[in-house]
Amino acid sequence: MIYYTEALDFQAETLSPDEEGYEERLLEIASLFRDFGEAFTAFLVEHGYKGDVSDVEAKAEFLRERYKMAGIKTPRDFKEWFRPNKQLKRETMIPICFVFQLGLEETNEFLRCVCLERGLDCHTLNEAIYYFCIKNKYSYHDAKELIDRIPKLKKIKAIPKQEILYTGTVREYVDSIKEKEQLVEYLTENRENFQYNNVTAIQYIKELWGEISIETSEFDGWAVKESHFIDEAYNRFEMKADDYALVNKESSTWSIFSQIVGLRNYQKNEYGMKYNRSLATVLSSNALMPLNASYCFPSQHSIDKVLRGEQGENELVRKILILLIFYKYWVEKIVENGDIFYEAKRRDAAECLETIDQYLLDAGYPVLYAGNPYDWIFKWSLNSEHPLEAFRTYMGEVFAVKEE
Amino acid sequence: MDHRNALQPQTLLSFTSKKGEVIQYKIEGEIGRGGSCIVYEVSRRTQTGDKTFYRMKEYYPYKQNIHRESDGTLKPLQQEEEEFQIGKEKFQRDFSRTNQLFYSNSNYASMVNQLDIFEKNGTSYIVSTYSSKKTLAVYKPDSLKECITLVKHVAYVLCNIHKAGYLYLDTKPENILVVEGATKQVQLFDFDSLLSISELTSFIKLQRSDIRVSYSRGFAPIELQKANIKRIGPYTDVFGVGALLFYLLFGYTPTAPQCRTTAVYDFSSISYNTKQCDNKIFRALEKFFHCTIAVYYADRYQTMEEAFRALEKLERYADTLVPRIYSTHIEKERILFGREEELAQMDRVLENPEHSLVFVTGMGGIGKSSFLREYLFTRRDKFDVILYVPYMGSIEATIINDNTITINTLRQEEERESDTRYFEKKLQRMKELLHGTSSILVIDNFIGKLDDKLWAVLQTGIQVILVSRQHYSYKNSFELQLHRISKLEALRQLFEYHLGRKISREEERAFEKLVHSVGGHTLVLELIAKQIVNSYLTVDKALYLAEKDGFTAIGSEKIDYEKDEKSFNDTIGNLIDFLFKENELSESKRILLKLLSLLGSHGIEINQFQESLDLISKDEIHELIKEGWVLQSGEVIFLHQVIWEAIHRWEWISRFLVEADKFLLYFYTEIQLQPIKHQFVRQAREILLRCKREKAICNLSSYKKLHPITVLNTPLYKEEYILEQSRIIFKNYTQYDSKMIMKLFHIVVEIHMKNGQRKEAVHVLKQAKHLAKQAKQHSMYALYYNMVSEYYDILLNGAYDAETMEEKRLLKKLLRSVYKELHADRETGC
Repeated sequence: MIYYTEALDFQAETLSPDEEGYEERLLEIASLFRDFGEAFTAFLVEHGYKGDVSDVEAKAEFLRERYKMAGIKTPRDFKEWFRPNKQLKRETMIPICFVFQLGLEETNEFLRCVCLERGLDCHTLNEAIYYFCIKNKYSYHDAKELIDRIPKLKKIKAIPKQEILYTGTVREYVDSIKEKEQLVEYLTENRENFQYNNVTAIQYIKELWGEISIETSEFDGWAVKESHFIDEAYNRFEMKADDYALVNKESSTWSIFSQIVGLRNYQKNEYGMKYNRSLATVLSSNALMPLNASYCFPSQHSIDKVLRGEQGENELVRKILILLIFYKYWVEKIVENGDIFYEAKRRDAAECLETIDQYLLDAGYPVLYAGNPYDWIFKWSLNSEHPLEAFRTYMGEVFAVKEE
Repeated sequence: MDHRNALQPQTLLSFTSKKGEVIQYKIEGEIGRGGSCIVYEVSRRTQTGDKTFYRMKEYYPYKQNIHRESDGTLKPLQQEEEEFQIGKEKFQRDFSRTNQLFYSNSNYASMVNQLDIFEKNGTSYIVSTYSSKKTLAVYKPDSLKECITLVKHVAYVLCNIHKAGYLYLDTKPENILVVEGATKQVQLFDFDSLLSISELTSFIKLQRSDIRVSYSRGFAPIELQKANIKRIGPYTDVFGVGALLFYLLFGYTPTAPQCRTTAVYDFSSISYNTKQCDNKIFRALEKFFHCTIAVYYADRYQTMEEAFRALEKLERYADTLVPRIYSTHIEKERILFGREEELAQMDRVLENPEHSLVFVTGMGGIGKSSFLREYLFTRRDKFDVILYVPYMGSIEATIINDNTITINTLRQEEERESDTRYFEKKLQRMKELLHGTSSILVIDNFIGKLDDKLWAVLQTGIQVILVSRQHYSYKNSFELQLHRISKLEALRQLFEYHLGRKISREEERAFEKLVHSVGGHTLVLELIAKQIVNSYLTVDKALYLAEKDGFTAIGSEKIDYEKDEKSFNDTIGNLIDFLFKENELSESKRILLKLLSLLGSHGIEINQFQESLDLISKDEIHELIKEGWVLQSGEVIFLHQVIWEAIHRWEWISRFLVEADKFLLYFYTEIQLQPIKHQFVRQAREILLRCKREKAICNLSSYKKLHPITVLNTPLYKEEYILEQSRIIFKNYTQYDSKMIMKLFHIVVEIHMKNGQRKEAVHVLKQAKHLAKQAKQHSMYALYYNMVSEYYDILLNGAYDAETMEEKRLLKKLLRSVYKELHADRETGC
């Protein structure tokens, strides 16, 4: 696993958009990312599988044995797990941690590096129970029993306007107890608070968006400020359609999003009208967008949803957070230095990376991981002299690949 | 709810030392628990029978499943046995390490003294001296200063730990004991996370990625959270210190946004009273947090010494007993455009030690106060004390006001001194406190005299800036005159800001004309922009209205405006009235201004103005110039467009009208006497133009004289003007002198005939005939027939030998009118 990550980190550090054949190399790198099947195979090898890594039947048999040993009901067809671009549900991933008797840290690493998901979320009832059981070395069976004992409430659409129970508080409590009954009592008493999660992340997204857009600021938001620089530097085409899409004071989420990802006017109009402001058609089956990158890729709809305080997929919230922190960091540099071609120093890139990671950790998400293709785009951009431009160049390539 | 089973009170623990001595301790009770141990209060009997108390730490990690047997033995699960042993060995190593640390530098005051270590019950026990039970987790400091002092002590201990070659890596309230005494002390007692710097270096060299350092959430920087060994250093502990102070002040640990070096903190939410602290405390706290809890390690203080020094400074600022003068809190101006040169000039002026007194002058609404506030805000780091106060009627009253100039150890109500005595006392105190500092006093809206009180203020050593509309001079002073913003781009930015949008290319010209029409006046541009928004106008429409009826008539909707931290909501006209208050002036000055307002933008020579009004002296004119009401350029005086607009709104009371009558008559007389001197005619034209908006003036008899004579004496090439004015006059020509009108008819006919406008000429001739009939005077008929004869003469066009029927007819008419003219002349006696 380490070598795989290191290899991707190396690619992120060395590939430059100014290089000849950079587009081809990007396509090569995009093909390097492992899907779940490949990552899981590597995991199995680390945890005792000695057979042929390409032998799906053998791997399936190995898993069956381990499940049996752990006394956990075997899923329907393990072979499916090794199909290309297979995505497992979280509820399917977690029993694997019990099967292989992973500790808490190992479980979170597994979820992060193999499943490309966040670690156990104590703000979800089931996962708080899994967390407790894994930590205290209870079995999966014990976990299921506990889950069945807690009366369930449906997830609510939006974060309630009441005092929030933060994940940190839940985790602290779960960390301090050993007895199952204590856990049942706590979760039962507080079950309304498990109808929502991602509160911190959503709060951060709202704050960041407020600064980027012009909704809360008396002065121009960062996007409007940046638009002047883009206009001056780039928009010299005779055909306005080829200009970069820019925001103004009345701009919508779609306009701001278009500017962030570097759409041209014709792209903004086309995808705005024809595809209802969605980039899904560009991102799907795109050689430069491995499935895990395009899955829950931020969009105008998803941003608006989060801004309304509505609950969303973990990955969606995480990806929006990364995008906005990255954008805001570099647009501040551009505007404060009055230079669209502000050259990033090494410490800027390091600071940006730490900032993104700090926000993610605060919100209960894993830090940027080179093995996650979405994260890789940002890690790679950070190594460029003009990170925001690099990111937009990448997005430009994504469109180019689609148009081809 | 910790699951661990502590030893019960009264439990006896007997240890055997290496010498074979048996030492027995009795458990008095549990004090607290850490991640790896339980801490008890224990006692022992001495040989003399006295009871002595100690602290005892029992190795008992809560992460593991450990059962306490009935005899007190700790039994981990079999699969955790190895882990338990490793932990215990580390516990023992930590004892040795901590022991070393205790005896190095002066740590004995700030670390719990460990006395011995024993093995029993399958685990290890460390005995240390009796100390406080209270940790910072439960102790609430009394004041902001105490918070800082306690954290400073922690930083001091950490400095020593670093010097000894270790990093602490677990600063948090639970690990800090507060020791009561004459002054409070702190003691660190949990050293489980201690990491030797040399060990760390070797981990980095070996590229060990399996090293995990435990950390406390909220107090640990990103490099600890990510186990990024390469990045761990003394600045990692610096983060802990910053987070600790943050926690003590705000009650929670810093979040990701608060770890940015651009983070802004809401200090109003801290529960400590900060009113008596130095003004610099918040900026210093902000800087401290930016340099300690910064997410990126290189942005933090790199050594604990730096953090310690910063805390020392903070401690001084937080000390409320130190006498100090409080700086005025200055907010950043929301916007300020186009004053970069003036700001730089201000820097140069104040850097000159000769300029102990500076005047910042300019007309009302030009932005003097905004300029000064922006200057003070952006240069706030240059000055130790900044005082920005309004003028309170006198220098003495301004200084003695304790609400605006506050010294924490001096108040007039407590001193019970008279104003003069208190003024002297306060100045003396100011002199002591400001000695050796770089300080500045700005008095806004100054309109007083420069007297000995001002001199006394200057003796304190403070640099003084007086902001005024008036001009002053004083020894060792400098006057910085604030004129209109010269850069059009800056005015555009200002305008667009208040307009809420950019000006389009099509609106450029109208905008530039608007700027010109108000002389680039900052305030008025702002008001016009707001009026355009509130009245739903275009820029072009606003210009049209402004040109037609003045900018105060652009719209009647009220607009918001802020001046000197007060908010107003009123029409442009009323806001301008407020800015230029009529009642601040004497009547004679108001008359002068009202008459000046009748002149155009070219103004008038000061001597001519005096002569026109028969003034004995020019003193009042000079005062108006000094007070900023009147502008002077060489010999010429004139009004700024904005002041003109304000004066225009003053009512024409009868006294004003009397003088206006005289003024207009002056020009009438001069034109009559010296018609060749075009200057008077030009000035009269300007007056007439202004008078279009002054209905009261138009009814004066002098106006009715001046109007036609001006038109009559206007050079013929100004045809349009002549025709336009004549049309106005002819509408009510009976109100004017008939001869004058007849002459005017003549000129108009001439112009029409020159332009081939026969029909119009005939119309005018009819009017002239009507007038002649009404007048029933020969001279009038003479003038009329003269006009007619010229008319026919032009039509005949030199064809006096009349060959055609038409020519013969015209010639006949021409001759007839000539005869009639001659006849009328004879009858008149000409």
